[in-house]
Amino acid sequence: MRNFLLFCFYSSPSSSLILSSVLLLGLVSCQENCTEDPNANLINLEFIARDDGEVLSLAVDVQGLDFTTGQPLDSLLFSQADTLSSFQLPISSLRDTVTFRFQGVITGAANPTLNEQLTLVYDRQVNIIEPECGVSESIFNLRNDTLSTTFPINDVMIVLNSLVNETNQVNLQIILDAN
Amino acid sequence: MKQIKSICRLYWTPISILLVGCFLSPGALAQSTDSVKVVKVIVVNDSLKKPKKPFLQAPRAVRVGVNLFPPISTVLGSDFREYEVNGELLFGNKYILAGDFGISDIERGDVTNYTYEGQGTYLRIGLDYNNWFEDKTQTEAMLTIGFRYGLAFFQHALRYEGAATYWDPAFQGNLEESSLTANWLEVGGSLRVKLFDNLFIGPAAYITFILGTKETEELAINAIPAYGLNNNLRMRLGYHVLYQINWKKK
Repeated sequence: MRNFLLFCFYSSPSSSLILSSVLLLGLVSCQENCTEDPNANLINLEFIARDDGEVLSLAVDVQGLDFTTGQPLDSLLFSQADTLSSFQLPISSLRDTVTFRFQGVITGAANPTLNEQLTLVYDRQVNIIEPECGVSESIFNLRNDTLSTTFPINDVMIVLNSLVNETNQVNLQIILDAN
Repeated sequence: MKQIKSICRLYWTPISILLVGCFLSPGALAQSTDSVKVVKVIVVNDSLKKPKKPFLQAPRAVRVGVNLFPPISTVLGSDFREYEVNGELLFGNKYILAGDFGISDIERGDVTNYTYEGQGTYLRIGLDYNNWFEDKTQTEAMLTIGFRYGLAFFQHALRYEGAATYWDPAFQGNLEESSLTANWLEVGGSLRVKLFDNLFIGPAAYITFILGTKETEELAINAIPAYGLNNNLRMRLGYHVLYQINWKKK
């Protein structure tokens, strides 16, 4: 092996350069796949009943509140026309906090009127996986802003504090007194 | 003599008396001298032994040169534009203290959606062991194994198009972070072959392991000067051209 290598270099130094270039081409051609969805920017929320812990299906209006004025944004994220068991809440790519308002009627509850506000704070970091995959954003360290949230503190539970693009993965659970 | 010794070992007491009588008898003494072999004993003086070579010999030469692999890879389409100089200090024919210094410019992206840029400097320092140092006829080439510790100082920036969401309209993102650092470890080897007088060439290959990077806030480190993409394990290739300067013998 040693003599072979010496022969190659003594007889043709350029051959080693060519070999190295071939190896480089092999490396350049190896590219990573886009294994991560660059759009994991939805908070998956569930409401659960206090007595039995079952997931509740609710018909509520869910709306975002403006960062500066605190007024509701024009469009609803979810309306009372739909009865849903889970809610996917979008985050903002330009800010580290979002606030949502929940309004509706909870059947079977001692206090059926729902009119609460939820403020969430998170850390975000922009990343690049591969040129074909483009820019992605990681959301992590999700937490409840207890000063702004009107739900009882102990009724808001962070299940997973980072956002992943899996529809079955719950990030947040809120306990309600309902059937 | 050997027979006498063996007999004495077996029958020491009676024979010892006989031997004493033999030595006292001139006739017997003459006979014993005939059978005694004279053995020359040479006492070796420690100062005559060859001195042991020290673990680390004195430096005998220095090599300076460049790594041709980064500019070649840039021509072939790499996102990294790097220029690197190398230095090696040869301790005898066994150990080589090596150091690299380089500057790096990184640009990645598909132009339309985003551009990631990085600029910085880096250095590596390490030690190589020449596997062919015992071969007295092998003075024209070295096959080394060794390690490198790498350190990079850099900054990066990202410009990208942000899509419209429920909260925000479409926007142009612009993130910049400076005073970044990264360090890593490399394990591998190289081949140095003498091309002609004092000029050496040869490839190198190292497996690199990231040790740590400075924590960043808004923009994750995507590429590191001299290391490549920010993965835990990578491979680095090199092709070096070095000029050797020998110490003048006194």
